[in-house]
Amino acid sequence: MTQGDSSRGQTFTLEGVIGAVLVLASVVLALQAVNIAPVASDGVDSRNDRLETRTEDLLAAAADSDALRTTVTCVGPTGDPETGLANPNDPRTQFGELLNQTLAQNGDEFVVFVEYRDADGLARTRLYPSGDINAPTDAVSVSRQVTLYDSDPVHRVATDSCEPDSDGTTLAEEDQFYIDRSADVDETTNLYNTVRVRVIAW
Amino acid sequence: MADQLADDLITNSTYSGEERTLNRSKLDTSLNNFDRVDAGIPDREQVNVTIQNGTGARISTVGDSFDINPGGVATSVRTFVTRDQECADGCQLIVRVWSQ
Repeated sequence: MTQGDSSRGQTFTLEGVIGAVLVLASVVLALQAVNIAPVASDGVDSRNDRLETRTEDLLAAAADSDALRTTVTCVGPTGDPETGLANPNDPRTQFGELLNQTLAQNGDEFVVFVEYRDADGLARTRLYPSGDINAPTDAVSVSRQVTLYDSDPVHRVATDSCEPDSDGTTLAEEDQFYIDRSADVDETTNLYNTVRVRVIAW
Repeated sequence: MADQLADDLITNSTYSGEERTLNRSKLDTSLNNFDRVDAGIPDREQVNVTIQNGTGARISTVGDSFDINPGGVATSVRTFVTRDQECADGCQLIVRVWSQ
C-alpha cells in the first residue's frame, strides 16, 4: 500500500464518521419536531380542570333559566336565605337540581356563596351547606354575576320550591331583604345591586 | 381535540342568547350526522360521543365503540340542559378520543 492510498483511506473514514454524526443529528432534530405529547393526561390538574369546566357549565345553565336569580332572591320570613337553599339533596330551584345532577352525583363536595357589596364592603352569605366545612387549598372557585333589579320579585321558601311572593312584593318594596340596594346606584334607575354566585368545589 | 369537539357540539346547538341550554333537535342532528372528517379527527384516532344523564344512564352514543377503556383516552365532559324533560335537570356530553 502506498502512502497515497493510506491517506485516502483515512479521508474516507473521516467522511464516514462525519456522515454518521450528521444522520444522528438529523434524527434527533426530527424527533424534536414531532409532537409526542400524550393525548390524555391524568392527575390533580386535569381533574381540577374538568371540575372547573363542569362548575362553569352548571352556573351557565342555571343562568340560562334564571335559576340563579330565583335562588338569590329566595328568602325565609326574616328576609335571609336558608343555608340549605342550594342543597342538592333537597333542591328548591333548578340550580339545586343542577348541583345534584352534576357535582353531587359525581361525588364532588362544594360550597355555594352569594357575594355582594353592602355599606360595610364585600359581604358573603353561604347558601350551602349549613354546617362547618373547610375547602382544601386546591379547590376550584367559579363564580357568575347576577344583576338584580328593583322590579325583581322576592321569592319565598316553600316546602320544596321557591315561589314568587304571593303579594307580588319586589326587591325595592321588601324592607327585610338581606341584600341592600347598592348605595352607588342612581335612585332613578331600576338597578338594585349586582351579586356573584360563587361555587367552591373539590 | 376532545375539548374542541365537545365545545363545537355545545356551541352549535344552543338557543340564541343562551349558553348551556341546547336545542335538542339541533344536537340530535349534529350527532346523527357526525362525521369524523368534518370534525377534524385524524384516521389514526378513534372517537366516541356519548350523552348521559346525571345518574350515568346513557341516552345516546355515536362514533367508535367505547365499551372497553383502551387507556390513554382524552376525555372532555360538558354539562348542559335541554327544554325537554330528559335533560331538563342536566346531562353530560362526553367526548372521548384515543389512538388505535
